[in-house]
Amino acid sequence: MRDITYAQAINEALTYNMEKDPGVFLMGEDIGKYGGIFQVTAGLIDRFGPERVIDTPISEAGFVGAAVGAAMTGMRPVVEIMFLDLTTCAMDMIINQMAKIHYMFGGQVNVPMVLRCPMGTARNAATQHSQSFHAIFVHIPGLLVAAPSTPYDAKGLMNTAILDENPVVFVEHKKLYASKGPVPEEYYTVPFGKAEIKRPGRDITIVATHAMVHRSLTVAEEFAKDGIEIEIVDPRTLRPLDKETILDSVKRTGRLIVADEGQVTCGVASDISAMVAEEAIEYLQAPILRIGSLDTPVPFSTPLEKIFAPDEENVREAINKMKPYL
Amino acid sequence: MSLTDEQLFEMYKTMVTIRSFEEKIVDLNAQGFIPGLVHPYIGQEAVAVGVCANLRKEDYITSTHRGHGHVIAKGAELKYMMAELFGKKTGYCKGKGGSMHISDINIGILGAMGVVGSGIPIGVGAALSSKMRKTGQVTVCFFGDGASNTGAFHEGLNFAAVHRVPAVFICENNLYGISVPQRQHQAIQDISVRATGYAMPGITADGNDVVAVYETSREAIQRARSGEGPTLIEYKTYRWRGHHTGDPNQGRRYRPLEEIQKWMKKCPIKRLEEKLTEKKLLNQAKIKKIHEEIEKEIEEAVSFAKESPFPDPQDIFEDVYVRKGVER
Amino acid sequence: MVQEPKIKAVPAARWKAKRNGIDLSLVKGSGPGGVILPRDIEQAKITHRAVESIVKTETIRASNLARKLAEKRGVRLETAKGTGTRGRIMMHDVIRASESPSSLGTEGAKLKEGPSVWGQTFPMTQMRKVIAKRMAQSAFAAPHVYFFTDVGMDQLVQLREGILEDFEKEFKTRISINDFLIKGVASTIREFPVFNAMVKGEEIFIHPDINVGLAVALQEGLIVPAIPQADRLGLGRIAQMRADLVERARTGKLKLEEIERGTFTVSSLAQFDILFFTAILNPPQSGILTIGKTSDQLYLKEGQVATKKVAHLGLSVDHRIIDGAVAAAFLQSLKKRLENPTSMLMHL
Repeated sequence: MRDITYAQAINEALTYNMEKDPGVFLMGEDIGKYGGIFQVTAGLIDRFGPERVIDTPISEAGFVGAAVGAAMTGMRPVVEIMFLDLTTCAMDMIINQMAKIHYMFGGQVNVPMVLRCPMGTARNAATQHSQSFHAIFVHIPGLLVAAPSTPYDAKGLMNTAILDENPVVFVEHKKLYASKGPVPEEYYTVPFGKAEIKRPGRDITIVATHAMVHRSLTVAEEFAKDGIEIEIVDPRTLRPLDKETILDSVKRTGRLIVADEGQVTCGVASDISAMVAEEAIEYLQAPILRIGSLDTPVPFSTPLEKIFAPDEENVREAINKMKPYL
Repeated sequence: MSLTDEQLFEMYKTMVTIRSFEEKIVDLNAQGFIPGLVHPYIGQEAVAVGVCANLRKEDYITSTHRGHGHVIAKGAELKYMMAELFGKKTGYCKGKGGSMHISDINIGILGAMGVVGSGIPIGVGAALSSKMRKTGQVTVCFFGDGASNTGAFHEGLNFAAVHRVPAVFICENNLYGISVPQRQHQAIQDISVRATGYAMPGITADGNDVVAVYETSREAIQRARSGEGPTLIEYKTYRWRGHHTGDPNQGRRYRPLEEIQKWMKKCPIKRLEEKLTEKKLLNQAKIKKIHEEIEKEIEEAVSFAKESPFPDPQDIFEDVYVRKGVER
Repeated sequence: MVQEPKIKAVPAARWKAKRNGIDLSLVKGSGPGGVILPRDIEQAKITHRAVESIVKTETIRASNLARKLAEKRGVRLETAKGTGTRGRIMMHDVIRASESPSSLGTEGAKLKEGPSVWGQTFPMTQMRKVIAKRMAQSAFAAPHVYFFTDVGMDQLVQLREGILEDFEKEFKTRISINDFLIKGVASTIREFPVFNAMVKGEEIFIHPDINVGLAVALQEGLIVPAIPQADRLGLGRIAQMRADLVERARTGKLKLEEIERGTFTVSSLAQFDILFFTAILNPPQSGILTIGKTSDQLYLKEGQVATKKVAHLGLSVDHRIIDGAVAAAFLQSLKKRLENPTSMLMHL
């Protein structure tokens, strides 16, 4: 198995599906000749032509809405929104239309589209290009939300997302685009609603998303030397959420840390914590700790940006807080 | 190509159906059978009927909160509409959508959208899709003067123009965005001038003359179908009632009585009636008969709706997601 | 204003306490802020179900299959009505009992909890019989004499805190006061070989190795695994061995040799509110050291009130071979070592 980047993995999934199904087409800003600002769609316009790889005007509401209309009438669009932050320009289309049409029309029509957007704080992109409020989409019934952390998961989940008849918000992490990992050349899928235990352990469970998975893995190796075994659960999709795997892990370890790059207040980490507290209270041997970004807008200056986003230090801190309960 | 007598007759009947249906549901809404608020189309019938007379069954339309007229003109069945308005399980949307979200995909009604303007980008997408699939389908997006100011309108028209999609944008300018008169919500008078901003033809016509509507929209629909791109048509019209059934006194809070009366004199149904009477296609007896038949049809729809069951409590979870394949 | 709950316990501990019939108010919490953790309940099971720990459970007659099924389904045997010979509980009786909700929940306790031990007679378990016999033998064979002293613990506590992090990094174990105690005792025994003696009739045998044992409390009774040649080992090694032996004592994985090799015993009740206590010698050993809790004591320092940490050591010796002066000297020497731990580390 060769190692390719997260961006290349998604590219492969898009290529495969566009070849197989003429109904799959792409829309987004600068995805054509430029190949997408993170190079996810590189080379696709040469292969499939400008009719299927459409460089849109800067009008998120317009082209997300167009994707909804196209999806309702037999096509399977995959739309790229350059940054998660810019989904705000299309919120009506995403929340009121894309998510609701299947339900409010009594199941008459499906909206099989994929909306791709990257989150994550990186490289001083500042307040309006670095946010991680994907929790908003997890909150909306009717949407599915994928959150791959590795190239393997990215390709597999994208393959599943394109085939799924439901609208999928595919949340990528901008810092992970260049990260490499083993990815099979052949076609495969990663199912929605199935978490993966990226590292087994018996003392503490960390449920982590995106880059927090990698940061937790690094820190887990450090603590392993002290005889503390951390189990890392990667949900891979936030809606549907694999509650079973998470609960089973907490039942075994009795201790939970949830790490997501969004803010803790009303975020993904808080929801998972509440769910576990509700459904596995008698197994908890320690308070549940949540790790997330600070409750501030994303600052520009490098030292501030560093403390804003959660990293290995935050994970270490949480594990140390949990040690007296071991 | 001028309209045949047959066609005129049909258009008359459809307009009367719309008028009677709307009057009935205003009544039912007041009586409590139809919950929520409805937005009557009364007074604007010629636009829906004139445009949809040019459409094939497989052509798409997107509609609005004031959409019953469009939907009936496109061919929706009264009883399923009525049941949906009542919130019954047998309605078009299984009671999940209500007045503002009526749709029937089988006859190309992509749905009424409750957010002003949001039907436009969706309609553009459907047009793009039919272009890509090379089916020759046309999409008509209905919307009002209020919507012509939304970002969705501008983004949608721009996209449609750049990609030359087979769409026709029909703006029903009834001179008010809820309570705000047109002169207060936009600097222009004829909305069709905005078409130049998108390099597409823009037409303004009398929305209360069903023949004029028919002819102007026919041209635009043919343009779209032959791949020449989208058109923006503005029809000047007027709604007789308030914005919705909660807006008292026919909207007199913000509209002068003389204005309302002036427009009521230009009633599209009356005008066609006169024309047909002149052509000896209608007389008092025939008119009465038509009204009776339509009343009967509507009564049947009401009975159907009244007798239909409400959705079961567990139905609330149905259709949140498409069940196929993904475990919830 | 919301009142603080009187007893703080993590949810898993509460559940464990409930299922084992432990009264939370009797449990001392070892978690942050004194919160009760599941391991504290484990400890409480030993100390608060003392009767149940030492008596035979076979008063309830049941087939092996019935016992296994009862354990699997969490059914309390005494809630099952036995339909076998002489009221023996059979498998189908357990099945029937498992259908009734009141039968479920209690792990471990096979007897009725709390009030129902009163007024009843039970046979001792095999292990308890042995322990009882040896205790009695020891008490009557060796005349015990007891000595006490107080030890200033400030230096030791400070030293421990200072090296804790690095120690853990290097030796992968958290150093405890007991480790210092073991080391101190071993070094002191080297000074006073008679404490490594065993009486054999009219002869005494001085064991060549100083193997210091640490008493570990288990549900069934006390067990004393020993650290071999403790005088020759560094603190790091002592801590590692101590941690390993205690763990294996608790999981029942000790080798007999590891218990039998002990030549001297150290027993601690420092985690309880015990000032000092006397202990019975562990035959055939001649000495046993006890330590109670460390508490803050007020004293006058140049006319000002100051506090110092103080713990009490107890020493029981076999009076046949160790006299008062010798015992006193031993204790004094040990005290000196513990109060000046850095000097102790000089003589490894």
